[in-house]
Amino acid sequence: MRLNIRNRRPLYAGLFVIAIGLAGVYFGSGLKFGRAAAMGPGFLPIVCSWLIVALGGIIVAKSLHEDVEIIEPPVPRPVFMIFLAIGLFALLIDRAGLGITVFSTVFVASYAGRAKLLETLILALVGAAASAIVFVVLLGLPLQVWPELG
Amino acid sequence: MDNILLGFAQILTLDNMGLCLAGALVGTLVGVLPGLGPLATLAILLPITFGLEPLGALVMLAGVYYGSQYGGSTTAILVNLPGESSSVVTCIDGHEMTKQGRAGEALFMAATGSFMAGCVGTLVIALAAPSIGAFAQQFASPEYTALLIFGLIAAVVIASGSAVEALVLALIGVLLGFVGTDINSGAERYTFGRLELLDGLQFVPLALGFFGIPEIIANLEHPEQRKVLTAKLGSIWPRWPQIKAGLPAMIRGTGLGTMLGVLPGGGALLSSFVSYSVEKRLATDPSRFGKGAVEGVAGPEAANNAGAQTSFIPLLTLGIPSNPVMAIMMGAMILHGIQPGPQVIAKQPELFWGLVASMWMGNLFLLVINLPMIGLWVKLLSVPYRLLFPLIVAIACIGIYSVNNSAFDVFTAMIFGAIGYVFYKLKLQPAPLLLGFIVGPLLEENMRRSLTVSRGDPTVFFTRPISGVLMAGAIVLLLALLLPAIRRGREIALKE
Repeated sequence: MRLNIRNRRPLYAGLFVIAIGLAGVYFGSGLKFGRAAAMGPGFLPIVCSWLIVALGGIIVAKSLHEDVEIIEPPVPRPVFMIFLAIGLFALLIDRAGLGITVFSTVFVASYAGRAKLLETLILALVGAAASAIVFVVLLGLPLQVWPELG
Repeated sequence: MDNILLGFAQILTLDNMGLCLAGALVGTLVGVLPGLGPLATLAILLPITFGLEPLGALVMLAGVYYGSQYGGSTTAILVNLPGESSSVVTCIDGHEMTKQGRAGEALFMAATGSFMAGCVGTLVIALAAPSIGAFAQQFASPEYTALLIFGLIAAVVIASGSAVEALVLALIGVLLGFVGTDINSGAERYTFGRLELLDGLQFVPLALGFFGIPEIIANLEHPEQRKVLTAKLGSIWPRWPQIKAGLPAMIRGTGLGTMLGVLPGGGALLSSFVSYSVEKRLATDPSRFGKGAVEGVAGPEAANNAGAQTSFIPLLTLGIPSNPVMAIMMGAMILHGIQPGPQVIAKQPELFWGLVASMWMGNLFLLVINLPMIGLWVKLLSVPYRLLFPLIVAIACIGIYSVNNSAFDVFTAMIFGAIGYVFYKLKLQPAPLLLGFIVGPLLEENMRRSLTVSRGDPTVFFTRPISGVLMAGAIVLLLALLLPAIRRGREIALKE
């Protein structure tokens, strides 16, 4: 039997959901299940995961008969640059201090859109200075502004 | 009366007034600027409030919430851009009025309508909350379990397009809520051996991962054409015929919003949609709608503000968040060590009444901020997004990091951001996930306790009167989902 998939959106959505549910089942399988009167730590996580898998199946089934929905393809540049900017923040913040970190994050993030070099440099500098003033001086967050030397 | 005085005594300090004003200002600012909805804004600002007293923090966050609603209406009216989803309706007639040179009048209607609704909403909270809270204090764990199940199902069923998808996302949220140490047995669940996960997933990276990051990327994928405001503002003072048409619409909108806000899944969005269709139906000449009808602005604007107010009722009295914004407020309360629920009114009256008083105060501030200062907000509209979003990314990162001074949290936010982006591409709405995540641990605790007491007998949820009614309600809602006839009716209702 050949299935006639008309609508890919629910197909992929359903499969993604099922994958999440199965991951829940797999990583929860080591937990003690118990019984209703004395639930183990794994009882509800496993039940919940299987419910997710089941509902994922219903979503997949929708792909057979509903109208076609369009999935817009991802635009690589914003996706890549935004995640790079956040990753850079996570890597730098404990080592380089707030100033350098914010400067780099703002600079890299700018290139997710249409950036001009000079404007971006100014924006990154202003961002770094402003965040040091607002978060460290005014709000008193315990953040290092400059990298610790030595 | 004593209670309200107690509230004002709490709020009329320089600190709290300042925080209320700051929240309202920041909220309006963000609402006017493109690219961030109230959810992401609240999630970003949440960590900044950590250093504050709990009351101050909640007052400020509540101010941000109303402020962003207001700001969203301003952009809807002036440049036809709904700053956030409940302003979509305001665009229809509000922007049409702007094209006719009646922008000032539309802004006046939106502002006074919202203010009036805010006053009524606050009053309703002050009157209704204590008795609901007292009633809820009789609840034992089976009632709580039933209430949480009912609230969760009702919230996802009423508020979203595809109910099955909403339900599944709520369950994924519940699943994420399991991460960490199980309180009953001490077993580690889904921690992958990471110490950072023993206390469970952090709320801020989760919220920003699912709402903030995908929202920023989505805005960059669709570079918007911002229209420059060319039309004249016109006088902000309306003439008598407009007042005569607008005032009853405001009153109806206030009433509708007040009621709908209390429902799970209600709140601002649903209220404004319903109010618009009611106004259109009541009008002697419905064809005026879409061509600059005053009622089409006054009614929905009043309704969304009233709904925004009264959606605090289930949170403050029962401890259940009725929509994602309330889930964030609940997250904020928990981070400040307050467990929302009926005991808040009884044990921390100064917190509760202070918050209620601040709501009224916040609405007053908003009126002052918006009407005289409208020119300033109009100028801000012209700030290009390319200068804003890199700063938003940096502020979001600082926010996530500063909760625990943890770079690990920033990495978690990245992972959730990636999943959230896939959700966005596959058109899965992440709002129910946040509700599930917040409600999940409470649900598990109460369900396990009930079943332990009943020795594993699940009928305990059905034989006690209050929980029986709630469970029956939940089942009716689930059946309604499955029956195609009702589902179609609901889809038509949502489309309108």
